[in-house]
Amino acid sequence: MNELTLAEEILLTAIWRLKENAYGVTIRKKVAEVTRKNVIYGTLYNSLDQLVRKGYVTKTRGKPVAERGGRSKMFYTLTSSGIKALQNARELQRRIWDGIPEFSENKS
Amino acid sequence: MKTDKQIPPHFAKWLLFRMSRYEDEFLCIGDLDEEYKEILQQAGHHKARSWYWVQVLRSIPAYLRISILWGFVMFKNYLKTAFRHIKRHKGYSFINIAGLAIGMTCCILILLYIQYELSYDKFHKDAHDIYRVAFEIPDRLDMNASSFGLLAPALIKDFSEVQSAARIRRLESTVFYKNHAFTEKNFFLCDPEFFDVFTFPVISGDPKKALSEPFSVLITQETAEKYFGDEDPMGKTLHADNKYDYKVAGILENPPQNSHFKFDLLASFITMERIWEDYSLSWMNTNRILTYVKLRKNYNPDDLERKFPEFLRKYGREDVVFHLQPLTDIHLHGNIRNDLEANSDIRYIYIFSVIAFLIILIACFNYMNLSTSRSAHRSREVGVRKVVGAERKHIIRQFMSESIIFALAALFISAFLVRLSLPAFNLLVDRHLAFHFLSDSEIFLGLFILAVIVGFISGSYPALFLSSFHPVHILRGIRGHKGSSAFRNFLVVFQFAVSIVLIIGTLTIYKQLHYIKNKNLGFHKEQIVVVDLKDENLKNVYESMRNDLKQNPRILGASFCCDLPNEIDARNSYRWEGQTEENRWQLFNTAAVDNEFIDLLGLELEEGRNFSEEFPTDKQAFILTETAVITIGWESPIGKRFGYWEEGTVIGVIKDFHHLSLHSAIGPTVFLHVDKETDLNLNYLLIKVNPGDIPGTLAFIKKKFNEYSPHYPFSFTFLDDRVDKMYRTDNRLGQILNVFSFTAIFIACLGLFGLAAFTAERRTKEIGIRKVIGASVSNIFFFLSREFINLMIIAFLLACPIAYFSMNRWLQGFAYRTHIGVAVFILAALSAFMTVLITISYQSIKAATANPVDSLRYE
Repeated sequence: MNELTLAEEILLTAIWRLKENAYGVTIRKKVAEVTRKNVIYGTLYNSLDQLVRKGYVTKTRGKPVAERGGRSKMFYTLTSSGIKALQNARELQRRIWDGIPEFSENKS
Repeated sequence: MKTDKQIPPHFAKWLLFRMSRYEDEFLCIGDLDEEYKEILQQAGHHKARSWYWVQVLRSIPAYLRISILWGFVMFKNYLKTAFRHIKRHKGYSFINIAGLAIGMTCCILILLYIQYELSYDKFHKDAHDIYRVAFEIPDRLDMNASSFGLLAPALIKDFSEVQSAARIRRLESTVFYKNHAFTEKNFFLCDPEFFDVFTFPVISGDPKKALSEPFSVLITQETAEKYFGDEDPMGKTLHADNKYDYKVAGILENPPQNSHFKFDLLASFITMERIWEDYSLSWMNTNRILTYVKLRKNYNPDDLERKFPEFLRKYGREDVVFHLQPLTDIHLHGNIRNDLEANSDIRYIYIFSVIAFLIILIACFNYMNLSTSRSAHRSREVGVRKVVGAERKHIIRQFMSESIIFALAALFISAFLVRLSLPAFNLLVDRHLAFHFLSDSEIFLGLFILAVIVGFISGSYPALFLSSFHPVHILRGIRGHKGSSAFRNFLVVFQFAVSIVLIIGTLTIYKQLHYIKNKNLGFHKEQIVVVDLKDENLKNVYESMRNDLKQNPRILGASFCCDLPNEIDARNSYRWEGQTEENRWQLFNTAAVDNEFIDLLGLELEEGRNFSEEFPTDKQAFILTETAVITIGWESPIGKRFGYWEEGTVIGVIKDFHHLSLHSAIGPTVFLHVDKETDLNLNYLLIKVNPGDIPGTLAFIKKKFNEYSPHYPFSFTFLDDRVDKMYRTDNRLGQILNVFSFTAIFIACLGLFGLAAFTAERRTKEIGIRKVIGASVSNIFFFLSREFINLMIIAFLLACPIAYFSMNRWLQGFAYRTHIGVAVFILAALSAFMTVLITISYQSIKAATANPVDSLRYE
């Protein structure tokens, strides 16, 4: 299995954290919170679509909500291969950083 | 207001809708709405709105990236299916592409022509600030291209907005150098300011200096080669009219073909004073001098025109009205008297544009018709695509790209065809068009856009039609598209209506040309040789030259004259006894002729007698036409006093004849004797010859000519050719229309052929059953053709009034004209029906003679 890109990793972790409440607004907020950048919906959906195509997540449609102009929410959940990929990523992260001490703040 | 702030910006939302491709993505719009409301409550609507806008706008790049990627993937697939389709249905594809290619070829040729016509005189620097001063005298003199000799200097002196002004005057001369002699029609005199106004590149010499000295001349490269060959022309002397010596002081590039002013030699304007001793520039006479001005950059010519009345009062010509004619308008809008060359007419541009548009439309309709008629072959493909998940817009996109591929293929074929046909087309329109398809990026881009537009139009209806199929119906084999056949019929009717209009137009033009050819002009034009005379000395010896010529029994008569009978246009006003004030400025066409002119041309005397050598006083006598007598209002004209100052008498009246082309009405015409004034030049020698051995007679004439007028080149024409030449533009229009109507009907027939094949194929079973029941071959043939014949009749009925109306307008341009007549319509109808019948008969007969066993075997 291929390694996840950083963007994919961020998205998948965001969905994982949000559990049942992972839909557009919450995912965007979470990603923005993590990356500290203004995330644009256009790019977000393209990336999410790609994750769906790769089989890491599935999407299910919720009930129509009045506050959303009568539109339903699209919920995203991780598939088993998504979870597996995240586990691999975490393992990879651990191996990359293993044994490296914290950088001291006042080095420069 | 409050609700306004509650919802996100409309335009941004609309953009977002446009970008959403799938149903899922529409749901995502809800996400934006939800967050918008949240921000609205927390940070106010300004912040919310700007957040929304940023979200939408910054989504665009991602959207574009994705859609281009998928567009490309799908386009590859469309391309593949399109090529498969072309391969599988070669005949049908051939008809389709050929129709488009021929239509485009016509269109490109016409566009090239229009582009060329519109480019006239635009090559000058600041061409839009250059004007010609034309004048008219209301109620007395029509608009005239020439103006007064003193105008140009006065304009420069009196108006600061006039940057420069130059005079030009044609000076026809016979020019000699060593053993070369040519009659130069494009020999001009012009002011040194000429080169301030116009931009004509100089190769050598100082043109301004050259044009300020008398008898110095600038020549074009072509002229230099003609006279001097390899010699260096600078400083050489050209001898003109056996009297004057011009020094070559500079060489110019040949003027571009798209200039209304074409010259071969330019001499200085002050030379004029030396040539005509008694010549003085004035505010009375124009002497055929043309005045061009260059105004300050972007100066509004109306402002100057408004100042003209006061200006003219100063110089004592309040009766005159000046007009500033933009230089770039002269070629297409300037059909006025005394112009340098016969200009074209903007109406031809309009006519040709309409024809180009109609022909391309016929070609597009062809494509539409064939594509929709063959929908059965494509419907399964559409059904499968739809089932697999294509939406309607994808199908539309597919058929659009297919038609654009067809159009592009047709474009490349037509580029080739244009190359092939351009020489012939150039002859037809008498222009020097060039076509650089690949090297001229502007043309390439223009034609590429044309092809895309053509593809778009052609593909529009088939795409909409095919994409409307319901997959369930298609795949279950249900067909029922009533609407489409009505639309197809409309297309066929349109195509043939246009073709029939063009046919009627062509036939009418040819009928009028035939009428012109056979119209009795009032004089004989056959077997008359016109010899150009340039030698002024001939005036003293012309009687003996005539006697010499008449020694030859084949020469039946010879007449010396200043004007040809078909070109009598010089306008003069006269005084006569009993003249009323309102007749004071009546203009008469005037011709100076000798004793034999009337007899030689077979003009009929109504009253009185011809000029005769028995009456020496005839030098002061006049012969009038009937119309002239009626205009004056005399009961008995013979013996009445008449002349510039009533100095002569009227000795005869002749019947009216067509002294101009049939475009103009017969006007009052006056003949005076060539000996009347010493400065009247003999311009032409008319010789009536016997039909036998014309070359021998011509050789004899040439020999005599050389005896009497040595040095001068001998050139001749036939009078009937000169008369025919007056209708050159009409002739040309006829030929062009002929070509285009053939093309139109050919393209339409291509489509019809395909359509007939389709109809026959669709009805194979029906025909089989009919035959089994007992229908004969002719029954079936009639039955299959009936539908098309009905369409033809509708097309014909539609075409008739349009053609009648427009051709009548064309005929109004002739003072003497034929009627369109029923015969033209019948002939047009017959030729259209015959072509249609021939086109469809192949398919109809094939279907009608087919064995019903074959078609019904599988039922």
